[in-house]
Amino acid sequence: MRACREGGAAIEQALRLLDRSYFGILFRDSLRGLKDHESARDLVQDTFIKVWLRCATFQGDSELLPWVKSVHRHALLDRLRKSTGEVPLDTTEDQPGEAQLRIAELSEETIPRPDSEAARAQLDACFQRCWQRFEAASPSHALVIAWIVEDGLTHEQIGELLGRTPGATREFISQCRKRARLHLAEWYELAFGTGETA
Amino acid sequence: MTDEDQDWLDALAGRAPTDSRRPATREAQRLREFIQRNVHAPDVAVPARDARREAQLLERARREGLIDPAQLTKRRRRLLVPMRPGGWVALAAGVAGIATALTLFLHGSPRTEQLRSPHENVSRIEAADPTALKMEILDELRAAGVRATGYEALGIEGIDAQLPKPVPPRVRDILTQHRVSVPGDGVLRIEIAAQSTP
Repeated sequence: MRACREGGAAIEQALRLLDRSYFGILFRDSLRGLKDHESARDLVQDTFIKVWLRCATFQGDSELLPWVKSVHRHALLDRLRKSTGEVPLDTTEDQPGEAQLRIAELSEETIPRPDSEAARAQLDACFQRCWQRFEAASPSHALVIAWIVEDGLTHEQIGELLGRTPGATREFISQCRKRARLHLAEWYELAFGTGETA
Repeated sequence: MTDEDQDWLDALAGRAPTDSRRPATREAQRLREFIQRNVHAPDVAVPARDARREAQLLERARREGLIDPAQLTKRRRRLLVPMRPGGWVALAAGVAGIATALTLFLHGSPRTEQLRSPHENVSRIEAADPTALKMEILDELRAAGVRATGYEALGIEGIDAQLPKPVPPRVRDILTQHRVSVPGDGVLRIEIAAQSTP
């Protein structure tokens, strides 16, 4: 509040501190989703402005970085949604989804199964190749899955990131799994073999 | 989201599964293992301090009316007007929280402590008319091809710039003429205060 009242130097100093403390970590996260340095920098600076404008929602007894990250991730997902216009997958329960069909197709192809520890490198290479395709096709879902692994996000935290209701969040998580199985199908086949993930 | 999706989410996040034999849990555990090994934010070098970047952020904050409350933009007014009376208390607590958290963060982190060390490199000079001198230096630097940004805060006029490397002789001359030392790291920060009366 002192910074708001004094204006000028106090706010400037606070913004400088935000930039020096958090730019790097937020920039790399932005770059992962946006794949463009200029857009990534723009998004991080937009985040710092939002952090300042929304400081009323910050709980003083919580850690600052997780809150700043959540503001940033929300903005990143929002920007990805606007720029890519991702289309929901078919979620009809009583029909085989696209993911299942794709996995079934792959299971009929002649993909060599790894049968030794030496195949680990092959699995990693396959995973990286598939993950790149996943990121390109469904950047929001790939990002959220990576964040779940990195930060152990809960259903509630994902809902906050998305700005969605619990029901819509459940649907999004379900979509994440389906999309992962679709785009990582080749890796699934190698890693699990036919039928294990059905 | 089904119970199976919830198992998948928990295992993906690294939480202890209720039953590790469930297919969704095994699937997510394997996926988590490969993500941890293969998916990372881009490893790009980002300087902790970048005068040009900070200048851009401050310029943006000025445009948003954050630094001079008298110039609040319509956007910020929209954000502030609907706030309930209690919201101002929360805002005060929030800003105080940010200030406290930033301070704790800076004092608690060796990396940022270094940033507050004598490497601050702010050249402080005095002038009878700080605004006029700021404009003069800004004009001269810009004429020499330097992208410099001026600001004013609490009666202190300031200039931020990222100098080219090596610093051109013309720029050195300008700085020397104004008794400003040439920064070794290329980050130029000048503060001009009014001359104190004897």
